[in-house]
Amino acid sequence: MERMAYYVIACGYLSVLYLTIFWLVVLFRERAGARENLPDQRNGSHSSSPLVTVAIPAWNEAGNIQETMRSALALDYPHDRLELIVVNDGSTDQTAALARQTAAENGGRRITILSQTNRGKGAALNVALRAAQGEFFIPMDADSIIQEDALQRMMPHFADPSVAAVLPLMKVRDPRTVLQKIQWCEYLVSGYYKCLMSALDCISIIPGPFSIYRARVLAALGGFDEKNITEDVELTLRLQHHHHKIVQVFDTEVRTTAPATWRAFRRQRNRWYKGTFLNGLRYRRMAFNSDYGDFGLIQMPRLIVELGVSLLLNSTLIYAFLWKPLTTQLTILWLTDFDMRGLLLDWFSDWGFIDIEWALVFFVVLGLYVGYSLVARAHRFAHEPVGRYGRSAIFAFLLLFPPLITAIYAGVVADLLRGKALRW
Amino acid sequence: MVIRRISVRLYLVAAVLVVIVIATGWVLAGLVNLGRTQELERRWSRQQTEWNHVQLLYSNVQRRPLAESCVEARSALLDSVEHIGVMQRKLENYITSPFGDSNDRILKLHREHMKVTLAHWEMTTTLRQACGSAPPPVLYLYSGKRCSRCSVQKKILLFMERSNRSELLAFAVDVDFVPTEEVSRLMGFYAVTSLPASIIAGAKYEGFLPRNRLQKILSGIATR
Repeated sequence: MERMAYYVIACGYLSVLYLTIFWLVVLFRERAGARENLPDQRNGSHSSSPLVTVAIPAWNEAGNIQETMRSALALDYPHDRLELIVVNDGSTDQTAALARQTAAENGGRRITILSQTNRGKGAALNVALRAAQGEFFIPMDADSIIQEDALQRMMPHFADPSVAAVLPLMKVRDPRTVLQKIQWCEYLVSGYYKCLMSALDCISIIPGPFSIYRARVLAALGGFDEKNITEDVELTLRLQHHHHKIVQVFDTEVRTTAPATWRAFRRQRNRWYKGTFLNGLRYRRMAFNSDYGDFGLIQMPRLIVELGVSLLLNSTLIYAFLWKPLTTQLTILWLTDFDMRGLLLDWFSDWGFIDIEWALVFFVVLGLYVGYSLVARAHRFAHEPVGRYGRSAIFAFLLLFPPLITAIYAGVVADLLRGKALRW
Repeated sequence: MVIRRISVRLYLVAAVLVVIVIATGWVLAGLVNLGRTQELERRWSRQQTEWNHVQLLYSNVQRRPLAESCVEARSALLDSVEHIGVMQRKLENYITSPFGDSNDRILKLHREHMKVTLAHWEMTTTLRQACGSAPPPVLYLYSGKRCSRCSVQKKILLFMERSNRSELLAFAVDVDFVPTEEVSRLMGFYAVTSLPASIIAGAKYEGFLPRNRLQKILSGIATR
């Protein structure tokens, strides 16, 4: 059992090592290019401002809707070229009334408020897409805030006709709890990683808040999948399936509210990971398919196996390095009247340099160092001071995020095995 | 439409770097392992010298079982027993560490160590008979490979030994590291049919012995 655990850990370590080194190689290749080539990516930008539609699907968002609408209306973009559509998805609170009030306050602007019975985010976005007149379509989550010059920075990327979607950098809005601070770090690392993926046309998820789509492409693909629990992942894979280019930018940010409690976090992540896995299976034909280049070779297999492999690897790590030693020591302590002296003697008696488990020390220190460097780099990359919410948040992210995700993965696997209803 | 391609060069560069990292790790691990092995061999050499000294004192006792020679031999034996305990802990820690059982030099050392542990037990038994003052030796036979929970019994014995040295002297022997004929001889002599087993004052006890049962057995020996 233990030997098998070590083999699993060794295989997992090798895979993680390979992927880390692979993306580091991409980083070194792109480091200069990502920043310096940006003007080239933007050259030939639109001489005129095309009409854009910002769509806000809202379900019981009375607390956020006005601020989100004001954030969209405050965008630095010609007012007559910006259309705002709010779709009230059967809210039972004051969302619709508050949206109308904000529309009334901004009388001269192109604002449309639509209502439907509750049918989910995908359906609400499709309603907005059908009503939209813009050349570009921008879904915006009702709990998100966008920076004013976002369109100025993101639109020029559409000068390349193969670009179908442009993504902003996501940040957690005003993190207060430890869990939100952990997600703050996660979002930054994820954004950094996506920029690298973007370099290889390997983006596998277009986040909900303020990603810009070419409306023509979106309509041609049939809009959002209304029955999908992660319609954004599904749409991303569909775009990849049809060989459309997706670009991640790093100089525009959108701030979104992250779950503050474990319960809300677990619910959100359960849906995300379940949806990602199921959509990965749905588009499995892209995996190892040379027609899809790097995306088919490295990204699609990851989407499909990540859930199982991560669960197996993290569970094995927890079993081998936490559960087994802990239960053994507790059993011994219990049978020896909690003889702490004996335990300490066992560990430290005649202790020397060679007694240190160097391999373990090496992996832990290296893991923490690489992890910390990555988070620090992601902060700098996102123009944030390192440890903006305390350096302890970074260590909390490095140490607590893997077990948290393992617990959620276990829940997802259990749900999938039980065939538990898949809904938003 | 995006032009798809497979960045073969990137994959190859990453693979080469992985091989370099693994090879570096392998070399470092080899150096650490070598350091450990050499340190253990040095310790073992000191242990052998100590053991030779104990054997010399023991032969004096056999020739003339006087009070002074008994005290001297007993004291040297107890010191040696303590040191072989430390040695055993270190060896087992290394062997049970990931892939630690692939170091032939350490395995050889562990086999020799088990033989000497058995010799210590035999000497304690005969010294107790000759001088009557040594604590009752407990020989605990177990298999590390086949019984992962056997280490719990060993810890209980060591705890009892540490709590009261005059109560017992524990000798834990992993039979997987003792020559088969030696194990067969020992198990045959005491009619041991299953492991783990404890041999206390010539009597065998098979299976896990809870602490209160062990204490009862040992107090029975003390009153004899």
